[in-house]
Amino acid sequence: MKIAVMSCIHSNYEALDAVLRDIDRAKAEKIFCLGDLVGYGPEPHAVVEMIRSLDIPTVQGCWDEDIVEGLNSCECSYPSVLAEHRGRFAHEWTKEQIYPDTIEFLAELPKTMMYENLAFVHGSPHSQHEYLLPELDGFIALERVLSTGADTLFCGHTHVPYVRSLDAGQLNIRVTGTKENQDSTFTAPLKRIVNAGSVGEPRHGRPNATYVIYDTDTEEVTMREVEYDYQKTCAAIIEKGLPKIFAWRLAKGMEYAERADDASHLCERGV
Amino acid sequence: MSNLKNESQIIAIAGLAGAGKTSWILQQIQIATQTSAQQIVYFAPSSGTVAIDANLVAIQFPDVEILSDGQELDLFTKVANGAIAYVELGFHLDLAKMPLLDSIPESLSYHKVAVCPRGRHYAEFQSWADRVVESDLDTAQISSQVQVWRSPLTGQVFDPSSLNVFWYELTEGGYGEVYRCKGIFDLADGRAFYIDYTKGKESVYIELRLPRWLEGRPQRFSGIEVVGAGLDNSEMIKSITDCCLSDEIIQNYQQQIKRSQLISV
Amino acid sequence: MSNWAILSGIEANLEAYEAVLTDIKRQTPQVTDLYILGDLISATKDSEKVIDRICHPKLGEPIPQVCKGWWEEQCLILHGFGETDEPTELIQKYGIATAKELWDNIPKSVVEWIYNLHFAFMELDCLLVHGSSISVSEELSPQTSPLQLFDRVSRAGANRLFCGRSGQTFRYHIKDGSVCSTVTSLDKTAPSQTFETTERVIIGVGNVGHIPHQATYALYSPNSDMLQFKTVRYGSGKGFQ
Repeated sequence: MKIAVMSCIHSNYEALDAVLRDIDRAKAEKIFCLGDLVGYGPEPHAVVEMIRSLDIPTVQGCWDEDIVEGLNSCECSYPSVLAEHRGRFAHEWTKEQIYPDTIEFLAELPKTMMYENLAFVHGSPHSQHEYLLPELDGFIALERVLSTGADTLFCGHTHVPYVRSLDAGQLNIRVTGTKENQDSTFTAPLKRIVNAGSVGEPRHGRPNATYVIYDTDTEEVTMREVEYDYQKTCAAIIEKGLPKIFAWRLAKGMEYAERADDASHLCERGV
Repeated sequence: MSNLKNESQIIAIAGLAGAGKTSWILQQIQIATQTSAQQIVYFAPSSGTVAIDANLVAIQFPDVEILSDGQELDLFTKVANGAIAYVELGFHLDLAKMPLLDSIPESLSYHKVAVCPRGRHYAEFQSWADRVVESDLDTAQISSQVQVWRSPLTGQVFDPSSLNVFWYELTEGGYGEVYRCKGIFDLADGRAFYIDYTKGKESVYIELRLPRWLEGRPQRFSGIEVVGAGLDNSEMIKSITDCCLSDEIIQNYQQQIKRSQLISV
Repeated sequence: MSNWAILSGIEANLEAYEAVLTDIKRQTPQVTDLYILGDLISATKDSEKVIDRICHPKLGEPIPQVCKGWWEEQCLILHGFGETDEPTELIQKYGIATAKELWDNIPKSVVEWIYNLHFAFMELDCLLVHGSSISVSEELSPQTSPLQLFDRVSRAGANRLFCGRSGQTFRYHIKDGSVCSTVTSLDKTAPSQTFETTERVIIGVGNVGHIPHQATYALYSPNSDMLQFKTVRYGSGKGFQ
């Protein structure tokens, strides 16, 4: 069975619509969403309504959480004061646009989901705010997958899709000081991290929306890149009074935006 | 580029934005200070309150005397007394209408130097200059509809990662097409940087040889100059404002750094 | 040369703490630094006496360096100074009556003292903490997943992690290891990369006060990397000496 996994829609209805059509064409039978339905973009309400009406299983993203609980992001969400100021502005704006029952919907989203041997999170199993960058230390990355009990961990949050296999993981261990001393070797079977990219605020250097399709039979992952009329979203961003730079960034598929550049930075906050 | 003789003289330098005028002057001053103790004067007419080049010269060569508008007569006196004076003419100035240059006493030696991109000699500068020096900058894409935007930033302290994002947006066209931008910025850790970008080249970051400013808002010059077309000034101001730190955060950083300095001593 | 004594979990057992202090004073080479990794108190009245003893070391005793434990965190939560507002964990583990005792038996002045305790100490390449680098509640032991242990040491930027939450004494030595990683992005598949790790050590420092008449703690010399676990028997159950 083919499943589609998408993330980080960020109030971009045009992009969501195009991705849903593409999912349809690809004949995926199930869709999972990794959160961040709102923030940055001009159509928060329409996006949330679409996800709700299609009954797409969704985990809570950091933006969804912040809209519900008020901004309490840690430093990795806002690696700079510039990002923080812009984030706050978009946050306040979004809050005014959505209805109480939308907030309720976002509040009730789970932080992790499991489906067979697959796990779904927004940032990492530790925190919605933690970035699993492709350069992250291999052991730490492996720990994140193992902590879920899954074979494949789907995440988003970085806005750049990737597939990472972690193979032949092993640690040589000696335990002393307990009743019996022992040497052992820990080995981990092949595990994978699949980052679904971003539907509504891609940062891979092109303006196209990204998501992934996973075949549960062959375990094959396909990264999809979907063209859509991003100029429409850009125009709406400016028209609705959101920062113009958001429109420019969207049009460029900005690689360099709000993210922790330091792959070794781990989030201090728990889920 | 070979240096001119170290006789007392006035050297006026002209050229397009980003052609390399200040770089050439800095090079000349470097050579001059190594070979003699002759007094050096620097003057950039009509650069207003955001005199980034003058400040850069002053920081890199503390012995150079920087003159500002209204001190033209001092300049002549100093040259008469044996100094060498570099007069940097901004690209926005009309070379044909420079009263300062017209009023240079005949007794003083005076040279006109144009800095032009390699292989690209502009008639306007060639007819004016006594000598053309070539720089390896490519200013071919510069259109004639050039806008200049300047802002003093003295007292403002930047969060370095914010400044990186803003500088990237600025040089990649997020606020209009930029041919050239440069600035002096005070950072959270008390250091100051000169950042310089010319279209088609990598930005250059130079840490300025200044003491770390760890007592409140820096009381020293900082500022930015952007040369381009279709610039969105109000968005630039907004972003720059959002990059700057509050009094409280500045104080926190300064205390942290002072503490770590104590530990390392 | 510094020699550390590291202990955790006095849990308001003053007799046990005195016994350990006596044992510490007997050590050669002399103990220069004393770290107490939390759980000084429990819900009982004796908590205050233990804190008082810790705050007033006798002449010649090392001055204890104290960080927060699970009990201290529960106390702060009750008083509204914790990471969360609800004492859910405390009630789940010990019931509502204990929550009330904790509230009643810890005076405000002590709460204030607890509030100012550090979460952890970083000394040289060693992290000293009650639970783990993430939380006072997290229990690390030889049964914990090796990668989780690796993560908890690494995320603190440390090579050694001393903790007390499990109450066990152990030295868990990750000697070396490797993992092969391949990343495919939209535009390319990067060549496989092998991550290798250098050694990391997780040390359980035992528990002073939980088991009557038997206290355990650790001695560590950072210069030589020598680690020794001590068991101190005291009171009526100490048997032959």
